[in-house]
Amino acid sequence: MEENYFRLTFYYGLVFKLYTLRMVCCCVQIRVRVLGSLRETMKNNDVSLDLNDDVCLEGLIKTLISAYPQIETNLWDRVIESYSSNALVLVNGVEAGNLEGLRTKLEDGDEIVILSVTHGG
Amino acid sequence: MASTCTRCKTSQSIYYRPYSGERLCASCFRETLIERVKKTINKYKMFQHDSRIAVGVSGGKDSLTLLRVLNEIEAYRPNAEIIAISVDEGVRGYRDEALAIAEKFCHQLNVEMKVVQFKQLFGETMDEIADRDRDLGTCSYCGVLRRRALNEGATSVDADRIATGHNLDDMAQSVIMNVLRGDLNRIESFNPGGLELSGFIRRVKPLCEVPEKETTLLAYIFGIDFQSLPCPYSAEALRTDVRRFLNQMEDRRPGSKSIVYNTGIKLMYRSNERNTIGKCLICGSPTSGEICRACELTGRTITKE
Repeated sequence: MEENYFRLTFYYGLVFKLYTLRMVCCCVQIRVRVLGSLRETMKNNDVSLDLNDDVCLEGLIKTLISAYPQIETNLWDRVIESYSSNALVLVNGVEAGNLEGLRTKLEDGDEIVILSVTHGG
Repeated sequence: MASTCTRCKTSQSIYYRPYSGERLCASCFRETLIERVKKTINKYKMFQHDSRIAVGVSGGKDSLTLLRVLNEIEAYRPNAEIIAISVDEGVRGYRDEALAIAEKFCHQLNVEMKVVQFKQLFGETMDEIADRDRDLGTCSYCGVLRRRALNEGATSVDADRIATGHNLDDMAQSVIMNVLRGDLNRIESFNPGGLELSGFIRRVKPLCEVPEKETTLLAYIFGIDFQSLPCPYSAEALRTDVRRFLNQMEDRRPGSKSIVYNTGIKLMYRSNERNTIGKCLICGSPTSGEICRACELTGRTITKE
């Protein structure tokens, strides 16, 4: 009985610590919607990402590519080190080029829309 | 925080146009593009006041944006008419999704839509052509047959113009591809205002001066559904390479695509090599040889009575 009590307290403590850690490390939640052919490549068109509070657009795109590596070829251009050849990115309805491009700072609750520009066919 | 629109100076801008330096709100962005399309239509005298325009609608963002823009522009010409023509090549999955999007959008705009099928016109679907032994890539077949099918569809509805959704990127890519192939004869058919050829309805490209990024954003602003499935046969190696090259150039030197396109227009006007256009011995369509490309690709032969 006593052993179970200590075990439960330990697990609850662990969950609480992990939750606190998330609050400290991943303070912003960003919603990402993907439209066009990237949607089919990603097999998911609406995701929420928990990211560090100092994240910028480049960090978000790289996190997205880490989570869905199959989208890299159709999203990221390694020569110009940007998504801009293949997609339009809107941050809360404003095209990222009209903000600070890849350096655009993101905030909790921001909504990103990624539109595939090229479409085979 | 985005800055104020450099055009209306009141609303918040949503788009930065790198090649002109403008920052535009959604409304000004839309207006400037519609103005540009109107100017292009007038420059190449694309339509008459009473034109019956067959808009080639694939279900992709460019063709649907074109349909919406022309519907808006031509609303001021009470005698002009617009009909959407969709070509069903018979590519399972890909074309089904596109046709459903096109049908829904035409219904929203209250535009009549006609579907023409490869199977009906040429006896086989694109899936069947892709499966059989062939000398050329799938895109070579599809491009030629789709143009022919669009012409057949437009003829069947008595249209006097065909409008297609080719944008600035498509046009600039074509110029570079023709140069890389060493085929300057094709530059003659580059004319966005189309050619008057007997047996073929004049084909015009009203979006030819609008970059693909801007047709994409306009489609999003119009609330057009984006097709998610790419064509399974679309990997045309040369075009993919040229597209990548031009996108990188545009990123580093904004305005590059326009320069390439305008060079193509100059080459077109200066081209002195005129092909004699005759009639295909099989179907009677205009061709520079004895047999047109569509008959050649579908294996049609002269039938003796």
